[in-house]
Amino acid sequence: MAQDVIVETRNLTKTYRDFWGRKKKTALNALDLSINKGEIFGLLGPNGSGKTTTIKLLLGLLFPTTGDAFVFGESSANVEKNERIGYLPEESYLYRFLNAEETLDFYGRLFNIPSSVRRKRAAELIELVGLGNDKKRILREYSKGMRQRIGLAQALINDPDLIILDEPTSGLDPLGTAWMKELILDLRNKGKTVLMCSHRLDDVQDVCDRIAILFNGDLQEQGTVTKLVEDAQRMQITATGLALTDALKHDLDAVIKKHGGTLDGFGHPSTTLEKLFLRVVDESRARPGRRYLPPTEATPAAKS
Amino acid sequence: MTPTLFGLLILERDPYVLADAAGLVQAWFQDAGGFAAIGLFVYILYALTIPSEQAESAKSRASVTTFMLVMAVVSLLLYVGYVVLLAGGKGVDVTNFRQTSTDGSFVKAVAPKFSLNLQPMALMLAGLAAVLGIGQPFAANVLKMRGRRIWALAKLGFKEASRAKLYWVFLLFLLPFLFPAKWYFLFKAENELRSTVSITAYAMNFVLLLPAVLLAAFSIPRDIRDQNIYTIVTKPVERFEIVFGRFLGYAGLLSVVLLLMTTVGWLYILTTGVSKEAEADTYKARVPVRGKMVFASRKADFQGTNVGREFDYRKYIAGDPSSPQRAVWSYPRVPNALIRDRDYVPCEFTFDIFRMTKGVENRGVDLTVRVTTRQAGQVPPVDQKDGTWRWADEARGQLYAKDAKDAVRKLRGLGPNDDVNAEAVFRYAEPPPPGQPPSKEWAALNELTEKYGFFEIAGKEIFDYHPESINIPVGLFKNAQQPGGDASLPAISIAIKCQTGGQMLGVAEGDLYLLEGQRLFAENYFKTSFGLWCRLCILVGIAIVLSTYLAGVIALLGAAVTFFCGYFGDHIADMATGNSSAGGPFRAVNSLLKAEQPTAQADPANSLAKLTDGGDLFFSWMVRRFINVVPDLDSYSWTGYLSEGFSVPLECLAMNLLTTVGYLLPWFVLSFYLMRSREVAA
Repeated sequence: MAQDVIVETRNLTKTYRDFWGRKKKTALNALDLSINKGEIFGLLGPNGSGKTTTIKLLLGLLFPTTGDAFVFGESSANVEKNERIGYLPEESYLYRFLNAEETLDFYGRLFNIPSSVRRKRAAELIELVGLGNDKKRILREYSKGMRQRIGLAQALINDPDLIILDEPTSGLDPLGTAWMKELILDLRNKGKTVLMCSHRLDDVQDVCDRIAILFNGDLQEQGTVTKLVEDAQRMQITATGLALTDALKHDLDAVIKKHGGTLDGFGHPSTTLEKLFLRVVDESRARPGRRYLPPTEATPAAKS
Repeated sequence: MTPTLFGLLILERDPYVLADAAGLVQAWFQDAGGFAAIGLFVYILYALTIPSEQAESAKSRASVTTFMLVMAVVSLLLYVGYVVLLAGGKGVDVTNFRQTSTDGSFVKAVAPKFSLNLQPMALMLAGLAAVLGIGQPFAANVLKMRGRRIWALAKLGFKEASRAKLYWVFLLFLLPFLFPAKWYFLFKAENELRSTVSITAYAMNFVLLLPAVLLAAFSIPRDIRDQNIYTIVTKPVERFEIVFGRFLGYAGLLSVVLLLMTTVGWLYILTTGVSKEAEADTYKARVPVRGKMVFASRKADFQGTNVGREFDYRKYIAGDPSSPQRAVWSYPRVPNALIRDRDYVPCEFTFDIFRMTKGVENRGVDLTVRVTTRQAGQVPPVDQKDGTWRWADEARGQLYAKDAKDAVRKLRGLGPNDDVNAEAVFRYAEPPPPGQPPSKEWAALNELTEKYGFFEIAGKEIFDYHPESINIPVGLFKNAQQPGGDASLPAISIAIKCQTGGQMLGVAEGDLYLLEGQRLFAENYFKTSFGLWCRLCILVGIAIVLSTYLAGVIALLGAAVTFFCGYFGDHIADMATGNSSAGGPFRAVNSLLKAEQPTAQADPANSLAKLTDGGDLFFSWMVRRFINVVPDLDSYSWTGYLSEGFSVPLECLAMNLLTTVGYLLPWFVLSFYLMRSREVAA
């Protein structure tokens, strides 16, 4: 195995069987995958495609039917490999009778981290995930987003080399989502490897270096995000300082035809909804007060 | 064990002592080794059938080391050797954990003895090899365990229970104190403390055991259901650490509660006080030295008389001046503690009286207590009308009688020909109070007993189930330590004779003892709780282990059935050995359908009877397999000791700890394999 490969699966297959041993469903079929050190890898696919099954197989929560999964070059059945892994489950399956501090202390102990280091790291992580004011509240009182944040903190308590995030932005508001994505990128910049799966394609597109698309247990696509989303059949030209006049349209059409192409249309590039939301929130923070006026109020003359 | 109405410790079995450890360990390897062997062979067969194209992780989960293979082969060979010995009838004397006592012995069950005979040794070594084989991966896993992780998991269970406000349940324990039983029931004054202790013990058992099994049976299944376990097994946590951490957490929590409850119970007794009668009888912690009891009479095979009482714990000797029947307690050696710094050794006893005639109003029955050493061996009378036992060495007996009279003459200042009744004089000799010099009578008596090893009290009046005592001069025990006499005899023998005609005296081995000293009641009160603590650990252990594979409700039922069967150990042992007087379930159904008495003898020629007997034989075989899984709960019960005022020996508590660990260890090994093979996310 190459030195920089952190996760590798070979012919990884998981078949669920019923009580009598009869085959019920193949959740994952002969998956071959490798994730390199320092990259953010996304697993995509609709519900039941095998994303979470893959993660559970890597973590030893499920046992492969055939094939193998290796993390840091060791079998997924090996408990010692977990020393270097941080895992955020899809739902935040933490003990709800503990508060944030106790939660991090508990998981820190599971990593056999000494008391002084544990306390220092827990305090830093609580600040990092923005729960400084709520660290004494038990998790039962937390909102879903807050539980997701403390879930992330517990995943980072051991300063892991590989972080596995199952639906990391689930339950987070757009601000939280943006914060999470920034954090993931920051982790990558620190040399960590991140494996994440998500339904939210824009999240994946924004942060992942490479992705794999699963459908019904089978691997459908794998590659870098930029390469996979590229439409090689079409071309986009972006310009600024021009008004969209008939003359300009005519000239561009002539040039494209001259080179054997066809003009499909003209328009203004649009931003993403997330970027719009973040811009509005930032502006609102800078200048509080109502900004939006309905068309009827804005243009009373138009009524009449 | 049937509770007594009037007090007195019922000892149907001797508690385990350190001397029993070797025999128990041998029996453990035989029993646990049998289960280990089955597990080892099944595991190896499973591992060998994993196809080569199977996942590496599957192979690593069912890895077989060379050591395991070697141990399996050694174990198999030894079991084959055992079967050959069994078939050839050689090296018999299999030691069983629930060995029934030999005929004539009073206790119904005795601790297994270590045996060097071939059969038990072969069984033990085969079991040892199997335990080592199946235990190797477990031991390797245990070495990887870390205290910090286990403590974290234990603390989690502790916090979970406390934040679920479980302590409200434990407050139920206060009810018996808020509404004392004496408001509702009339107790004799002397039974006040017995009742308080018994009711407190019942309340503690109920309030602790029920939450214990509920907590433990549902903990891991709930973690799996709520998927909290995902965040634990994805950390570097060994699967057995989860089991052990949970066990420690709940056991720790319940230990704290048990300690608090014990303290509350003790403070209640301390603050409310006890009646003078109860204080004299039971507010103490006697340290008894117990002997073995046999019945003796003119006929060598006398085994005591059964007077037809349903509770057959005691056997009876006939009361009459001419009765040769005796109940004899023997002590093979004399503990040094009985001789140090004392003038006398109290001998306490409490007997049952079965009246054949009304007797004399307000009078008990009279006993003769004869205490002898090897140098004063006694033999039963030959004459049918004579009930007095005689000295085996008649000349020595006569010498004793002469010296006794001479001693009395000297005390009274009489001449050598004056007639005296030495027995009557020494009967009323009292030992000195602590720190005081002895009376002349006592000093003479002590000198006499030291010289001859003979002491007798006649006409000692006793009442039904009422503790009485006599004081034996320490000189007798010094005599017992001297060389000489008949070496085949025990160092000390205490023979009880009932003098009153028309009365039967009911005796059991635990009814008489020498009193070495006393300890504090408070100390005894807390020591008694150790037995309950062991029971708690066993119940929590079984429930947690079962919950690693079964759903919470099923684990709860499994643990409860296994544990509570332990309260019926004697009955199960009877079923396993086919000693149940009413036969097994098949015969019972047959009797029910034919409307026969359960105790009616079956016709051996009847084919249906043969069939039911065959069915019961198979049932007994099944029960014998099950019996080793049932905890021996009787051995953890010390409430009787406390309520009757007997000190609980520390070595017995040490043995409690040993047997608890011995019982739980195979369960923990099982949990290790179950957890390792479990897909927690499936």
